[in-house]
Formats: sequence, structure tokens, C-alpha cells
Amino acid sequence: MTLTLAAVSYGHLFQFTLELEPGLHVIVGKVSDGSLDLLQLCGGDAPPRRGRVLIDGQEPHRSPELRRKLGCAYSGAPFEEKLVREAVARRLELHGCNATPESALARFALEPLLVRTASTLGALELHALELAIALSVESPKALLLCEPLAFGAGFNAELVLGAIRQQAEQSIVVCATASPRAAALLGPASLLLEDGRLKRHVLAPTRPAFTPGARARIRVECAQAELMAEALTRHPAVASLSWQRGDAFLIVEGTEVEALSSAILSLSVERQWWISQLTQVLPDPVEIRATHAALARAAYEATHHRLHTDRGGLE
Amino acid sequence: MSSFSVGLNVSLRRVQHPLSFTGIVVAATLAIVVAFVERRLGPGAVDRTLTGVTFGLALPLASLGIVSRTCRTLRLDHSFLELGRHGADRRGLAIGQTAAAVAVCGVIGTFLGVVSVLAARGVHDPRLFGDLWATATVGACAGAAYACWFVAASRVGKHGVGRTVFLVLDWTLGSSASALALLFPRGHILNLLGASPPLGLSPTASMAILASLTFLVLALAISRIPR
Repeated sequence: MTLTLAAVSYGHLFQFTLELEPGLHVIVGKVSDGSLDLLQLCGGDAPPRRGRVLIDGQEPHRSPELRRKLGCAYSGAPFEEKLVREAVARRLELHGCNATPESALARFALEPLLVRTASTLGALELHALELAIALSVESPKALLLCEPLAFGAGFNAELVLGAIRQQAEQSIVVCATASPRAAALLGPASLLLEDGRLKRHVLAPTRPAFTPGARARIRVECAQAELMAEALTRHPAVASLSWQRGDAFLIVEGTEVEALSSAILSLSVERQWWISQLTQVLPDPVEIRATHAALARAAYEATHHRLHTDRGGLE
Repeated sequence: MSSFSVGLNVSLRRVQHPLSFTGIVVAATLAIVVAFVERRLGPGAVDRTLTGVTFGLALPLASLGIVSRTCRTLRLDHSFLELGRHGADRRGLAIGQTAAAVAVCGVIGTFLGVVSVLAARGVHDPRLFGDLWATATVGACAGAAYACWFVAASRVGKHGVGRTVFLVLDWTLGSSASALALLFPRGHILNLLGASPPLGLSPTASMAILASLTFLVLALAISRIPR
């Protein structure tokens, strides 16, 4: 089973080619980069202007049978039914699910929403329900999820992550997110989408991987932040460090995430300093885009310079 | 649950909106007021009311409103995007939607025709029941035809702007005596009501042309929706 997009043009996507096998695929990019267009094409909302989209050999916009086996959570369209229960039941029935609305939503502790009227649902609650319906599709061929970790309080992220990973064992799961942090939580590898094109395949969701040339950056929250800052300045893995008097956290930079984390953790164990939080500081999409633009510019300049030099040599 | 029944069910729910009911009440009030005025002006009040305001203005506008509501003021193929995403057949949904629009517009056509005849003739007129039956039949056919044409026109334009364009064309070209009038429901409906026929067609021929054209246009529009 494969999901194939062959030289597809639609919305922000231009001559977009991608082939995905069953598993979890995280795509980092904003809506303006074409992430939503990609999900809409795969979900069969519309045919591509050019190229072909195939899931398991069928075109989703032509085959209702295939769409019944796809779980989609990217529309954000409000339900038209009066009650949430009615809306969820109808959608589960269209997908041919045996699950009742109660059992489908109970997995994610969302049953309280069933008695509500659809018009009172907020955007996050609607997204949570869409996710729950998508993840309830039995033996799906593909799951197409937009911002799968963006939902309101009360919705358990661990449950969603567990369900996504479980489905990824047998189906193609495509998660589009604009947040590198969400991408890091979702999976070990991600694809960078920019201006309708896939730029890079990031194997490890770290700062140097997203923005080549940048140092790894870790935020450490610790009661003894001052002492830790003092101790880390002498560590060879640490390239720079920032801490302000009175702050309970410090930002540590170095070339490798693993070496930095190991330095911080060994220091914590050795000196018995309690670390309350240890998180990677990931770049935002704007920073990623700027780095890639700079890299492209540098590559162009280098090629241009080489050509110029070669021509000069010939003359 | 079939896609047809989902389309029908959801469309009927979309129509249940205060604006739809307000539109129907306004259309009926307009028809009644004009019928009373025409009645005071002298004989032929029923014909003038039916061919003028009732089936010339009120019914097309009411049908446009109903079809716009069933399409959520979107293109026909976009109006059921969300349900199509869950595996419903979009053509089945569109057929269900058309059935809902035809039923509602048919009832509105009958209702508008009946109230216009009642107001224009008065309850003591001996020809009232004959006129009521004929007008109700034509009203139902006219409502159904307008519903189908507006649904088909909803395939055109970004937000189904084809509906409004079709209404303007129907008003301008449909009431003319030229061959172009044959392509629009207005000319045929006026012929069924006894007004001057387009190209001298008989009411039966007009009815046959209207039915076949409506079916053809609707089938073409629905067949072009991706499944």
C-alpha cells in the first residue's frame, strides 16, 4: 500500500512528487507552504490541476469506497447536525465503523461533548472530535491529520499519540504541522515543506537538522540554575550559555544535542541538582525558511562564482 | 445510510432556517397584495398576477433562496465537501440535495399559486376550484423546474454565482418571444399559464421541452461532479 503524488500541482503545491509507505510521516510546513493542500488532495476533496494522486492504486477524489477507508482531520468545518452525537454517529456510519459514538469518543475521554449541540462547539473541540472520528476508522488505508497535537485542555495528548502510533503500524499516517516542536513529539523524522516543495528530509528533529549551521539549543529549568550555569561554562560540549540573575532556567548551546543533554544530566546526577524541565529549543518556521533561503543563496553564489572563475580561466 | 438519503436529510435541515420562512412569507404577501390590487383594476386579475408577480418574480426568487440555502451559498460540488470526505458519494449527495430542493420549491410554487388565485378571484367565484387545481399543478411543475435549473447553475462560478446569472438570463431572455426563450423555464411556464407561447408552441410541447431540458441540464451538472 502506497500513497503516491506524481508531479501534482494544486493550490500552493507545484510539480509535487512524493511516495509514502505505511508508517508515520510528519510534514513540517505552514498552510501557506501547501500543507493543507497536500492533505486536501490526499483526502480527495478535489482533483489536482495536474498530476495524479493515488492511494493503494485508487484516486481518492474518484472513489467514495477509498475515502471511507481514510481518516481525515483537517477541515475544521462545523457540523450541520443539531446534536454532536448525531453528527459523530453519521460520520462513523459513513465510514462503516461498528463503534458507537460513545465508545469512539470514550477512547479519548471526549464523551461529555456528545450531549452538546453542534453549534456550541469551539474550534479546538471540533478539531478534537475530527481527530477522534479519524482515529476510529477501522483498518484505515491512510490517516490525514492536520495539527494532530493542537487541541484544547482536557484532551489527552498521550492517548492521541498512542493511537496515531498504533495506526501507523499498518497504515499510512500523514501528520502536517507548522510546529517543529509538535513534529519532534510526533516522530523521529520529518519532511520540510516550503513554498509547495519538499526541501529536506530531517532524520532527527533537532535545531541543527532543521536549520543547518545553527547550534543545538537546550533549555534547562533547575532550582540551582546559577550553580549549573557556572559548572556548565567549563564543560567542553557547551559552546555558549545564557542565564540571567534571578532566572530559574538557562539556555545552553552546543554542536550536538546528545553531548549537551549528556553533559547536563551527568552534572545533575553528580551534584544532586534537581532538573524540573529539559527541552530542546527548536527554530520556528520563519527561522527555518530564512536559513534555507540563505543556503540557497550561498549555493547560487558559489556556483555563479565557480562559473565566472572557469570562464576567466578559459579566456 | 445511502448518500442520497444523507443529502436529502442534510439539505432539508439546511432549509429549516428562519430566513427561508421569512422569504416564503414575503413572497406570499407580495403575491397576495398584487392580486388584490389587480382584482380592483378589473377582469383578468388572476392571469396578470400569476404571469407577473407570482411565477415571474416571487417563485424564481424564492427558489433561488431555497437552492442557495441547500448549497450553503457555495458551489454545488463544494456544498457537501465535508460529508464526501467521510466516504459519501458526492453525486448521490447532490441527487439527494436536488430532491430536497425540488420538493420544497414544488410546495412553494403550489402555495404561491393557490394564494394568488384565492386573492385574485375571491372565495365566491364559481371558477375558483378549476383555477386552483390548474394553478397548483403548474406551480408545482414551475417550482420543481426552477429548483433543478438553479441546482445545475450552482456548478458554475466560485460561490455558485451561476444561480444568480441564470436568474437574470431567465428574466431577460426567458420572457422574450424569440427562440432563446425556449432554453429558459420562464417562457414555458408562462405558456402553461396561458400567456403568449414562445414560437407558438402548444402547452403540451412546452411542458415536454421544459421537462427534457431540465432533466438534461441537471444530469449534465451532476455527472460532472467528482464522485
